[in-house]
Amino acid sequence: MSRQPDLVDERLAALLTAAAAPARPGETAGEEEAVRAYRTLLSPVQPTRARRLLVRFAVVKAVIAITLLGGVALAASSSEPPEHPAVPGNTADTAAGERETTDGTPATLAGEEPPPPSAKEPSAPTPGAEESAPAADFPSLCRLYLDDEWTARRDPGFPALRAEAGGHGKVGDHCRELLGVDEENDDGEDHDPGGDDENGEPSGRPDSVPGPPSVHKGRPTSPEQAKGPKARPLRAVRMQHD
Amino acid sequence: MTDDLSSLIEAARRGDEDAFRLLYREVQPRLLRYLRALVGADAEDVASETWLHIARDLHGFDGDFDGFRGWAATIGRHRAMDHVRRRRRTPGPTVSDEQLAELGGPADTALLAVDALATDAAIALIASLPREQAEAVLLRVVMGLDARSAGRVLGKRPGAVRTAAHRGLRRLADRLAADATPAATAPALTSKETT
Repeated sequence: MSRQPDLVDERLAALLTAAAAPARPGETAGEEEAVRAYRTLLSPVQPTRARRLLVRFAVVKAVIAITLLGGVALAASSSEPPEHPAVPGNTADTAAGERETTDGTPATLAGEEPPPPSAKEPSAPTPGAEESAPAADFPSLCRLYLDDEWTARRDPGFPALRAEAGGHGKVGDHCRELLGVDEENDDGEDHDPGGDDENGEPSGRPDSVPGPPSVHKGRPTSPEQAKGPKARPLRAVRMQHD
Repeated sequence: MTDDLSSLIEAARRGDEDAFRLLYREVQPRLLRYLRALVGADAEDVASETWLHIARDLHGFDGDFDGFRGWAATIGRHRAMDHVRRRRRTPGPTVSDEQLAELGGPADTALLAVDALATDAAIALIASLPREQAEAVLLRVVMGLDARSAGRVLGKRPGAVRTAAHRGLRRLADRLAADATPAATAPALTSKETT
């Protein structure tokens, strides 16, 4: 059988043409499946959307959790004698004043307090023990309190301090006294720059000891105040752990 | 034409489902034939997997239609290899000796382009080549890739791909020549087909 180049070339060409022939119906049978996969998997928007939804969900959960916590704290504090003498002075801060009443929550707040001191010196974590806790605990609490007094005043995390100071409005004063920020220097280790920093000028502080009025003057904008109390406690807690 | 197809890619990346459909219709038949040479009857399953991956990663693809074809072939090849490993089967020629014998007749060869089974027969014949040659021929002829793109799919240099494709075609020609007789050919058909 002799080989015929032209004929073979033609056959080969026919073979290759057939191999690359246009699509036949059966060959695209998986189109719908592929499109479904495309719909489901491709869109780069979807992951972003999903992520955004997740974040939104997490935020909503956090807000609900904080609200519930606040509600519990408020409920618990209802049995506490109302004591916010300085707050009423500022009418614009009625809401803040209400929140401040939540500061009195004994159980919840006492539970939150132990962590900060534990960073330096573990002390009795029970609420009762805290109220009669050794004075050594209070400098730490006071430093935290004074680090961001404006926030701390709204933070329901300092009941022991409040009890120690003899009232909510006296905490700042008491702490400054305890730490010797002003005239007195009760505790040598209390010269924490963080505690003094917030005051800026210690001499001017005593006047603003009742805290709320002077502080509110500094940050009078209501929107921030409205949101502050909700958001800040978290930051305060974080600070306590630092 | 290629520009049009390339614009389809961009549209599909943006979420245009119709563009994706057109891309599928353009690429899938050739991809399926290539995969058939690698995994035989399981080609459709592997092709489905391949499109799943394409759909998943399309937003990150950056290239024109030629690049897309090469990308699809690469994904398909990887999936085929995975498939072969899973099935513990050796990829390669999937055509039986009987099928080859049927293909050998000149009359059959002449009717390749008009027979409904011609494409399958042609693919089967190409798949009967040594795998390296079969893949080179299929990527060049069926997938329409140039030597460089085919080389990227196979992890070989373009020169190696050209050589493998050339050897494959020569071997195919030898097989076809084995049964070639002047009386059995159908020049009218074949000349029409090659145009």
